[in-house]
Amino acid sequence: MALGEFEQALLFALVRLDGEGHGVAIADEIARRTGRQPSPGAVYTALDRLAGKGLVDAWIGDSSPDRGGRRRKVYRMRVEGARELRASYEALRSLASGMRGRLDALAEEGP
Amino acid sequence: MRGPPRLLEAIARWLLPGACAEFVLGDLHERYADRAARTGVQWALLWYVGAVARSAWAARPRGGRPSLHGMAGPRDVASDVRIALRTLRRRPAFAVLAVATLALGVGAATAVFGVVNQLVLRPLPGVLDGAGAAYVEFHDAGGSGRTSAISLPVLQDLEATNVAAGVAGFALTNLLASGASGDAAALTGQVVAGPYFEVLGVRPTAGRLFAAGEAADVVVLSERAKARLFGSEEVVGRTVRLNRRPVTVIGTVGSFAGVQSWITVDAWVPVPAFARLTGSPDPRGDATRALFSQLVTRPRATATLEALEADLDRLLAASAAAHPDAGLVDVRARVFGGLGVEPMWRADTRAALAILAGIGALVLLVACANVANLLLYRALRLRAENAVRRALGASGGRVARQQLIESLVIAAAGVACGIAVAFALTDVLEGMRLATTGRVESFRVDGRVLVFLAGLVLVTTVLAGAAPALLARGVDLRHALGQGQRQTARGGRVRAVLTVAQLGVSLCLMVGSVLLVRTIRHLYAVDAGFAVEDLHLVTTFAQHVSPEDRDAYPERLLASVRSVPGVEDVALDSFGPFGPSFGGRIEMEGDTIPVQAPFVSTSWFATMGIPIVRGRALRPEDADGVVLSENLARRLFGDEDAIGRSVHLRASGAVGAATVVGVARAARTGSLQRDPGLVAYRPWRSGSPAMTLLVRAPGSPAMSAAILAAARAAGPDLPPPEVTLASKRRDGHLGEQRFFARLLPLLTVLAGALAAVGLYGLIATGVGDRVREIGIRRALGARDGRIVREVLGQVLVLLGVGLAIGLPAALGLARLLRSRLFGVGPLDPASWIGAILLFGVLALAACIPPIRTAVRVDPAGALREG
Repeated sequence: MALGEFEQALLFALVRLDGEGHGVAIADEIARRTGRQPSPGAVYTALDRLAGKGLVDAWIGDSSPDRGGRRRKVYRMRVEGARELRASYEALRSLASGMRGRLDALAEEGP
Repeated sequence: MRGPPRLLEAIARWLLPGACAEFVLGDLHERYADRAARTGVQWALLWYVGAVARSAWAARPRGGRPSLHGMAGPRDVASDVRIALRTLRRRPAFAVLAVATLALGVGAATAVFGVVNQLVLRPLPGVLDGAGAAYVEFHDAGGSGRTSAISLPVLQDLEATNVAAGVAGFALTNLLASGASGDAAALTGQVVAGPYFEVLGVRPTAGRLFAAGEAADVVVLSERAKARLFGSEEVVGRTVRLNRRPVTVIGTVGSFAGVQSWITVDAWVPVPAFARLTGSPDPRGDATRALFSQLVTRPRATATLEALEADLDRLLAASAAAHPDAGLVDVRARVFGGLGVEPMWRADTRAALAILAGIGALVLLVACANVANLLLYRALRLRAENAVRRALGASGGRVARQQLIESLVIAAAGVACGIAVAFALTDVLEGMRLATTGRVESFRVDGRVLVFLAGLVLVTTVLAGAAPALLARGVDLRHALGQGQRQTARGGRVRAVLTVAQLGVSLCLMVGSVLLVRTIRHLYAVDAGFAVEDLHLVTTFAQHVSPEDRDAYPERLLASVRSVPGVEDVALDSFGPFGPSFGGRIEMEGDTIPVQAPFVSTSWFATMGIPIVRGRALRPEDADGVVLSENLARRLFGDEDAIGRSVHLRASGAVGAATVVGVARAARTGSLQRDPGLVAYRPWRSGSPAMTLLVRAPGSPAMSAAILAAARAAGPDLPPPEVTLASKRRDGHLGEQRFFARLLPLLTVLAGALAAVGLYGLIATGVGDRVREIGIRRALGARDGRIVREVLGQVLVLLGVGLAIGLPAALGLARLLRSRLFGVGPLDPASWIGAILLFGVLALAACIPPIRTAVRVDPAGALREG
């Protein structure tokens, strides 16, 4: 199962949050790190998909007045998810290893 | 913690798939409050909308199948609309009929409300907030109640007391203008005192308006006048000759034309200039010169109109005491809120227009009832089909939603077509208005009215379309299939009620129409007492004749026109028939009788065709002679001979004893609707500023042109006179009546057509449903007559109930119309019987096709179809 870019971002965000978080926290984490703020719809849809693939667990938490009385959905990384993420990370690291200099040159001046 | 508006959240909820809606909304709620605090509510709302859109897009359901459970997303709605369109296309007659009915109802109601809007509110161009201003008229409370006026110093006193936020007086004056080309033109001018333009909020489109205490010879022109005099050239700072004096144009005011919508003002001058232009003494400081009979003012927001009126009366009384020779003793003020509609017609016009608006609403209701009928029938017919669908797994909600969407599609199409109908009808009504009253009115299609009516239509169609399905959610399949016929019958009772209501409304409108149409016929048939046809009226601008020519001009004019071949007789009076008249009082033995006191020339009675029944007509040498109308002579002297008697006449330009030289037949020269007035005819005097030439000659356009040419020849340096026919003036005078007498029948035809269609639909579907039963009975030997009698019996019951509802409503309408009727009373038997017969005939005619169908049912075919 290859992980899409956004799915990777979500999982990394979960890692940063010590493996557990809800929509707002995850989205904020991604925003903090990448500068792009994903919409809540995108976040929940993708996370639910990950849950369907068995990579994260999801359960429904408490409601709060901050949320207009609505409940929150909390996600937690599963072992399978962590492994998938690690595999993706390894793959990318391997591809990218030592290439920073050349990448910068290409990006600045072109081929 | 403040969250986003509930409405937005509800919409967002609808847009998001059910699975994640709650959580997404919760997240957005959390963020919203923070954003609102940081960047302000507007930006937060904007962000919210954007975030919802992005979330909905990101979370859109992949794959092609619409969900059968849970809340419908936009996708499901779109597919439902497609299904609805397909279904409607399969039964085009139903769809077309429903849409056409709605279009007619919405269009007619919108057009009618547009008329009412324009005629009641009469928005004045160029005026800011006309509704917040008030119009004040002065009248003589002691004697005849006629219009009175106050002088400039008294007006200035009123202004100084701050009785309202701005008080300005104005009065009409005729101006002879010659512009760039040198041609003479007659302008309707107004002399204004006080902050006239400021009170009205009129801004100049070029140049400037009057400053306080403007003392120079300056004039402000309307766009129309400026175009007439100077074409498209620049005018600010140019000189125009008014009444042969050079005057500087300081500004223009665009489309503003005064505050009285029945008078188009071309030019405004300040008081000092006015004095010089008319060669009259300076009104400033002269408390006896009563100049202003009308004011325009802006009352304070806290004051009521009654309070303002009381204040003005009090101040006038104080002024009367301070200026004893100002003739203010009995002067009172009357305040009218809002500008535009001529005050004396206000109450009457408002009532008529309220009735009209009510009728427009009724037409719409009839249309909605019709459509509701159609939709109900359809819903009931589809019960069986729906039961099958539910048995196959569609949720009750889904089925209801589909019917709802079908109804909405019909409603939307109906409203869209209704907009087109509204525009078309508005054009028709504008033409009708022009043809009857001679006035160009622009009836606008009001967007707010359309929105309101569209909402009404939507609610009706939704209720009618979806209610049966919603109510039947739990119905069992077998039950529904078996029950088919009986359900249709029960729905039939509701439909019968709707049809009967439509019939009642149609009857009511028919009675009203017949009454109004007969009124017009009577008005035209009434004996005016003079020969209205073949009488030309030439309105001259005698006020602009130079002083040395004042005596010679009328003679020249008479001679010139008399010499036109075909002219039988000519005469002079001040305003001509169906126009205003000078008034006066006759005092006799302590009794004061208000009379009309016009100036007429010698040949006037002959030219008008009014016989002199005793004595003779007036002659030029009759300095103190007077001719009385028959009714006045009888009032003053009973059966005694009036000739040679003396009457004490107090009227403009004359106070004193006059000798009766003749008695003329009473005539309706003022208004056809009222009884002939009491008239004391006085001999024509030259030097009178108002002069109308009456010409007895065949009423052809060629003759009018010849008369016009002859009249111009008599006064080449004067503005060209206006020639019209007395019959045309009469038509215009009856214009409002004629307009209503055409409008009401138009609406009646619409409502009647809709009701007829509704009745036809009800009977036809009734027959259609029972085809099987009828076929069986015919197979068993029932004869045609029997079937016809049965269906006819049904129809007659419906008509009977329709009559029972319609007659009281018609009574109410007739009572409301009472003041507009002439020659017929509201309970005129001939009119009522005629209307009821018409109603009966039309209703029965609508039922002929279904009856024929019933009679022609083929028994064998019906049995097979069962």
